[in-house]
Amino acid sequence: MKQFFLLILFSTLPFSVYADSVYLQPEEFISQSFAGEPPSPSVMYLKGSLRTQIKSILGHNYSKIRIRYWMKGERSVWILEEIGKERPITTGIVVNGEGIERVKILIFRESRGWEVRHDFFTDQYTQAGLGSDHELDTQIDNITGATLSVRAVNKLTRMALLLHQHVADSRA
Amino acid sequence: MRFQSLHFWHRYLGLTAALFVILLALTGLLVQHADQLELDQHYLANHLLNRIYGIEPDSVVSFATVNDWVSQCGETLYLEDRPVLGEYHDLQGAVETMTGIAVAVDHALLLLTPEGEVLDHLTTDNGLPERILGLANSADNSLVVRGLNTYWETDDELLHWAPYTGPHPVWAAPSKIPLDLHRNIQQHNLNQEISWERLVLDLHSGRLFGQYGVYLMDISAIAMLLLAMSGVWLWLQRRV
Repeated sequence: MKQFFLLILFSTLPFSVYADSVYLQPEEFISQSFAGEPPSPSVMYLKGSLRTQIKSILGHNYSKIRIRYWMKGERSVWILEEIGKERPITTGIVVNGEGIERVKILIFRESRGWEVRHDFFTDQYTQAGLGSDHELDTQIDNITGATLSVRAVNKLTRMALLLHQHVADSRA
Repeated sequence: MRFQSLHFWHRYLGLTAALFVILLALTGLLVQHADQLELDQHYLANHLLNRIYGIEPDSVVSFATVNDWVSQCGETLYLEDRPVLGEYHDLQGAVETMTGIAVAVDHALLLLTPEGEVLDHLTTDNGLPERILGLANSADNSLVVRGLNTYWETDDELLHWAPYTGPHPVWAAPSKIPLDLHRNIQQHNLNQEISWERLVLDLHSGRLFGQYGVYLMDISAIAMLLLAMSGVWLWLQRRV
């Protein structure tokens, strides 16, 4: 009987403590996105109006001023982080042209809301672009019980699209 | 006679419990809307409360750069006496670089602006070659990082890393911080210890006053149960 209770106790531990769940290493995501031949990283500084626009998307300033990205042709890869409820969710986003090509949750640190890592959720972002007021032009279905994580991923995809647009404009 | 006696007890029990009902209702309402009121993001700076909670100031670890002091107290990092956004542990070094102030913290590399904003935060997940244990400036003033196995040098943008092959660098070491700065940092840190949410929750449960506070709240909860039951009983008696 005692062993049974111990088994129950230990089986619930993963749900009661924070643990980083690494689904894919960021460098592996970057490598996959460029078929094993990633370009050198570039850096972008969040300054002036760009910083203000990012702030309006996130509802606060991004956690750092300098962001690195990888770009080849019209495709760019962004590794961005945003807090769902308490801890940052690391997300890899590939933007191609004016739309999203791929979204992948790389590291999940929250105690709940991990359902956003599933392909059925992230596939919704494919081909999504930036509409008016920097909103996504595609409807993203929520996941019950993971609202804050969904909100965080939504913000990050909008941010990646805006950053890509900014880079593309500066290169034009 | 029994009816009058119950009425007497009901009245005085009600008067006694009223204070607790008000306290529980008010704190309950606040707890219910803690997120909207952002109670977890606002702190109380109160010496008496710190004493009640038994909170002592954390120690301060500091590193001197060319122009500034970088310190850690509790989970907060400070540039001079300005807190840096975020929570950090294990401050292991700080040096000035061409791009900003490099800080080794949590085995990662933080780059700060002179105003204390986070310019970049590099970990092994996003660019660092390995966990870092210390920082130094090389003879030509570039950044040298002491990793678990290797010494590394990097470019100004911290984009490319290569094993360092120059002369042995002088690693940044903790220094004694000026007293007034030490005091300001500890005071700021103390002021961040007790959030309004913590206070409201502990008032609601009685834990603010230790185990006896919890017992008091238990008794008041039982008193409220008795009140409800005696109230219903008295009401039924009147109807009969």
